[in-house]
Amino acid sequence: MARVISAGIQSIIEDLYGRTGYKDVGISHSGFMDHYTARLLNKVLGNDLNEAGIEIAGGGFALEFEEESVIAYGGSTIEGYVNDIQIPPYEAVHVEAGDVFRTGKMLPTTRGFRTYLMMTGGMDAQEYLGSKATAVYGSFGGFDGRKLKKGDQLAPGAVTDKNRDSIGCRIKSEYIPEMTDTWEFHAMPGPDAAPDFITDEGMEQIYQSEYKAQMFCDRAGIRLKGPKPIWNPDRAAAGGHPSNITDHGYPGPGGINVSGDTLIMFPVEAPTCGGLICAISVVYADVWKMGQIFPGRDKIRFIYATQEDANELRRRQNLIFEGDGCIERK
Amino acid sequence: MKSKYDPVLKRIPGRPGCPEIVFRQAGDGFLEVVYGNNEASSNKTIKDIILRSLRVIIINGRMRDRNISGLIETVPGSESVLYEFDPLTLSVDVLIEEISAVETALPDVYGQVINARKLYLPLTFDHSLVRRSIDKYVKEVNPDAFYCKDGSNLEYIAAYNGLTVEELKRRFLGTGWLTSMVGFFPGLPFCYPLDPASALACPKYNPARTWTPEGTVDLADYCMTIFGVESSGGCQLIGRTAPIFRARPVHPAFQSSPAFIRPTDIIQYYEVSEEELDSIYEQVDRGEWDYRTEDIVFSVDDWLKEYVAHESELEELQRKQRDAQKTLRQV
Repeated sequence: MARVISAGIQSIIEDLYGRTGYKDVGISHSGFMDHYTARLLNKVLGNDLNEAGIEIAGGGFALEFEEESVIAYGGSTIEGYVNDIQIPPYEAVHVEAGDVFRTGKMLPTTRGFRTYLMMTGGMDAQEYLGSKATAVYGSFGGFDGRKLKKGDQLAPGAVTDKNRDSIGCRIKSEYIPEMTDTWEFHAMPGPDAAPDFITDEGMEQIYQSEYKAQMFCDRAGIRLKGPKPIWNPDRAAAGGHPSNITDHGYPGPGGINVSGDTLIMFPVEAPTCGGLICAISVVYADVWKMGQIFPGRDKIRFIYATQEDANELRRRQNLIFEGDGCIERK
Repeated sequence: MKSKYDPVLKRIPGRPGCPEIVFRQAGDGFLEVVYGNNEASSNKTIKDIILRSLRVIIINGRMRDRNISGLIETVPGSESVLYEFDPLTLSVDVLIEEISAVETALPDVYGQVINARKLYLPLTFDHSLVRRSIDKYVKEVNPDAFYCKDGSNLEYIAAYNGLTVEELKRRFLGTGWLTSMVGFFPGLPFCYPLDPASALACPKYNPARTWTPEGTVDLADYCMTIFGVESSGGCQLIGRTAPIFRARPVHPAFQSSPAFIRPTDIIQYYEVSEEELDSIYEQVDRGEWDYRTEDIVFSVDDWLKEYVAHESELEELQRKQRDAQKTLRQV
């Protein structure tokens, strides 16, 4: 077992895929916000890529192990410590009973926003509708459907010989995601783009502008500050706000929703449907970056992508996790 | 020449009994198929809305039955279906072909029958929790909300439709409500009246409400929804019904899915007192209350016959609605 000593602002148990098959009753996938980092950490530990781990938003998290484990952390540039000795990120580290893992604090110089702590053999957690992922907006899955708090007893997986072999392994530096304060997202136009909803000029504007993340960011939406969309004048004249549309399914994660004149990025817990347009959609290979946007500070740009571009990005990313090519022994 | 910002991948022209079908890319792993051209709801009759919704239900069911490798899930909308797929397993072109084959095989929905469930749900108009929600809104959000009167929206909705409150209640209870989609908040159904005499209109709150209790039944422009969980909201409030969402099931109605209502379900309300409804909540959380459901076969043609028989009542209602607009304050 392991005991939470400090929980930070939002530390939750998640897995990679979350739940599928329930969007038609309003339940979004959930799962890791940063799917790329979490996959790397599971990989270096020799875990299945879908094993559950802890997603730490902000920092200020500490966990005391009551049994041995092999752990790896990564994501934001916040440091990780075992018994106050700094440990390298993206590396499988052995911990003994009584050891305490803790993250550093979030500073103005921190890049990225979420840190992941993964354990060998994953974690036991409340599986609901086929996933251990916490749905913050439904209060189910994970640890009693809620964020962790001080004193919670967690159940990391048992250490196997394969996991023991991973001790000292690390992710090769070229595969470690670079943290920044300006994030670029490949995004395809649609479903509701030019000419019906926004003019060609308006679409150019979306791809050429720099947006800023507002303070209000969470697993359901990241509000952006930026120029007003340029609406198709026919729609604007039809009555009601031009961002309104007959209720339809939202592409999530990935959709860039337009609420009034505000763009909202849709992460893993976004609403499954609603009555607003989505002008562009971030491609899957870049969705992980949403998890690293620092609220109120980071800048966001969109890069035009086609289906072919997106497929190529996805293929290349998936390839990293086939075989052990991304891992090296120290 | 097509703009590089135009996400439309294919169009199937409209034909009698079926509007134009538009295929839109929605990211690398999503494809949205829209029936019609996103016309404003004021430009559509309740008949158009129901017929499109029935098409969505039938196509969605047929696409799921095909068990296409790489198709992850489908999300029915009021007049659209969103397909989520793995583009490395299932190319978008192949998916479009699969959908087109299903669309072509269904020229229109006339003559179709659909397996559906009829759900009988209790309704308490102006339940005290609903009143509390309205009072909170007036106190904290909009003291000038003229559509809220003495903790109720019923008087305003009735006036907007040119009806008395009693007549409004009768029409609300007198129709089956077809569930066209479920979502936004977990378990929340979007339902339309099958009886045109119950095509009740009303605008939404402005600005939105910050708190709505679980089980609240509300209405805006023909569409009735129910809150599965407490949340914000913007429609005019009608009353409260039984629980429809339970993530930690103690009741068998929530065993296979936390959401009791799914697309295609037809809801029929019956009025109960506040005491009765409160007792139903207690029984549900002991796993006891009997959710009355009935498996039915819904015939599109039978519904159309009924619709036509009541169409004059719709015209009369719309005339009343227009007349009422002349004197009512705008939201």
